[in-house]
Amino acid sequence: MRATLTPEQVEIQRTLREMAAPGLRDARACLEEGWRPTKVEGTLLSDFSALGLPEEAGGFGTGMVEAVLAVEALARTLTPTHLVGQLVAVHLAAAAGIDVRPAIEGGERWTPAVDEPDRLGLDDLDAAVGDGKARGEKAMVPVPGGALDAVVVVGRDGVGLVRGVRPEPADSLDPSRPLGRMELDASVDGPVGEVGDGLSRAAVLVAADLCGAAAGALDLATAYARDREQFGRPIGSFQGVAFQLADAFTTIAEAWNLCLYAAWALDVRNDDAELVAHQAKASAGRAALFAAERCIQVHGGIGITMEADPHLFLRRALAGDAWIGQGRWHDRRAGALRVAATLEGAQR
Amino acid sequence: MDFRDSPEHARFREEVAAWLDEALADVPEQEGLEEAERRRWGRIWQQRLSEGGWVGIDWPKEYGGRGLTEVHTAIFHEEAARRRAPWALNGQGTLLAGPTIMVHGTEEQKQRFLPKILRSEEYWCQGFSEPGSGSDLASLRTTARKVDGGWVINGQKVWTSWAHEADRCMLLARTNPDAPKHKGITYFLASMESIEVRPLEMINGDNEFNEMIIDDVFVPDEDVLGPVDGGWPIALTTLSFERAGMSLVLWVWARRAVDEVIAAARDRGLIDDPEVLAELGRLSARAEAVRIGGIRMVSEIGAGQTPGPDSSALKLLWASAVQETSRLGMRLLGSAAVLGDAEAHAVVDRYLRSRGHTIEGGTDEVQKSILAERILGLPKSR
Repeated sequence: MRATLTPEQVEIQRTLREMAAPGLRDARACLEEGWRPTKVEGTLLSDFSALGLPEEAGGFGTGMVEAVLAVEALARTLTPTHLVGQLVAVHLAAAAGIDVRPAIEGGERWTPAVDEPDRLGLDDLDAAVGDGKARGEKAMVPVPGGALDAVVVVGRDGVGLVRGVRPEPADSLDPSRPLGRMELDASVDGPVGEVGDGLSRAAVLVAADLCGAAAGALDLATAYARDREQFGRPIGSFQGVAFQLADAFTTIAEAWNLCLYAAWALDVRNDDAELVAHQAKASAGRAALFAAERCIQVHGGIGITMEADPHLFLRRALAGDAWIGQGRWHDRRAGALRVAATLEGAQR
Repeated sequence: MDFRDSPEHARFREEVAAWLDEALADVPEQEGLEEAERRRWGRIWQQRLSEGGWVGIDWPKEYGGRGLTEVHTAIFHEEAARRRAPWALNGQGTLLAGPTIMVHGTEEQKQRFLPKILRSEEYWCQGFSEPGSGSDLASLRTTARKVDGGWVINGQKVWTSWAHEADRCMLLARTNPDAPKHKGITYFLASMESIEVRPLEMINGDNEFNEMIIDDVFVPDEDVLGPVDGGWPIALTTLSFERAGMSLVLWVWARRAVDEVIAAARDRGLIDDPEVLAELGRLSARAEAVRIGGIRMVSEIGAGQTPGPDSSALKLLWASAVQETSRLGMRLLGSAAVLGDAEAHAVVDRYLRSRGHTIEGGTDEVQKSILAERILGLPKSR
């Protein structure tokens, strides 16, 4: 056991922290002026689209651990980027055996179409992907800026690539990551593959995004609690305030431990990868919502205004919790898998 | 980042597993045994650990340990827990007193105390809390008065786990009433011989902890640990070992609580209920996070890093995981839990015992203050 970050992993984390938007200005601009990617978007997509991919799928020697470190770092300031959507799409496709080189070497922009309207989870998808066709309704589809080259569609019977279609942008709660809907009735480009561990990978990537947003909300709340004074002292010196933030720290610690472990378990194909991926996604959604809500509460009156920043984190938290399977569905799936493990006596 | 065993760790795990399988062959399942019987096995198990050389796995060889790392200790605890081994009764000696003496003791003290801990000849308890000094430990009022050749101690201690089994006590007493409260405390390694122990009954009926009446008890100078009036930083060392030791051992209770609730839900025909599954998912995630966090912490120690105050977050997660899981179990069992049906015993016992988890080893409120001040950098509330 050496469950510490390697020097290379620390380096990726540091690099992405430097590339992340400095502060929340970019995210706020998205709210006020419409979505515009961060200025390093081109580099992010060209250099990091293969992050976490196994080498046989075209990856360059990084694992999911590196991927979650990168995604978490970007999300701390709600960096407006399509990278998470791109990574989710690429991982879903690669897990299904689809050639992802156009996206990781050819500069193509891909986006994933996974969730469906009126469904909490992903175990009873309605969309059909097969016989050269993809048909069905999709929701929560990330809409990148500029061109979109392909949509990776997850259906009840497989995963396929669709070209020449574009999601209809919705008036999404989260301005820092545009999401849309799709009515699909299109030809599949290339083979249709089985989902494999693609949904676990997707869930863990979104969990990392939620962990980052949670940590960012906690940072913002903590800074405010140190500065803001009432009754002649900083409000962070009151236990009623301080303990909310300590609770947020603790819930984030839970989610981040699960996220790192799930990423590692996917990399080494450990038996419990699917279980912990569900746990990580559900836990991270809770942590992000809790931290963002506490951030608003600690800010008091200003926290419920559009001009203050706390609600930006709340928007990301709500969107992420509902993306790639609603958090409560992941709880339920984790419960079912955990029950099966106990009843089979298969606990480690 | 790798959560797997290295080849060397894997060999060690095999060695541990082989020994445990043999040593546990005649040991009954502890769950459901009467407390006195569990305690008897706790002593037997403690002795077997010594005979097998499994006490002080990560202690330096010069003090009689195996000279291995905290990761090895964690592997041992994990394998023992998986086999539901008894609770070794001298954890206070092996996890707290021994390591503290190694850091702060004189050479003479190390030679005198450590071998007896390794051989399980001397059992220890921790005389810190007092009726008037719980979370505000430094306000303690037990006094030590200087006399020829030693100290005479008077006062009262409480919540002392396993005091009735102990031969020695890590005892804090005030040696300088005029100094500021953190600067007048001395750390004694007192014999339990003249200390009166009165058992306290916990809400689950167990007698794990006690109060101690200390009435003119003489402690010789050679049993003072560290400088006179300099006991507070040493007490903090012990408390940090306590938090670290907890995260090594106790995640197992959280996982076991989940397993018990799964059994209860199955027996009641509730195992497919979506709400029950969702709750089991949520709580099993917390239990798993405690296990993962413990491995990460031990790995950091192994890599030469000092574990930070985020061990407080693990302790909070552990306590709430066990409490909330066993509470779910109580609610699923309903009348069976209330009316004392045999099948509900384990869940009821764990639930009642778990109320202490947010109090012992530093209350939730103390842990949150540590996080707020030392990690989040918020101003002190006091």
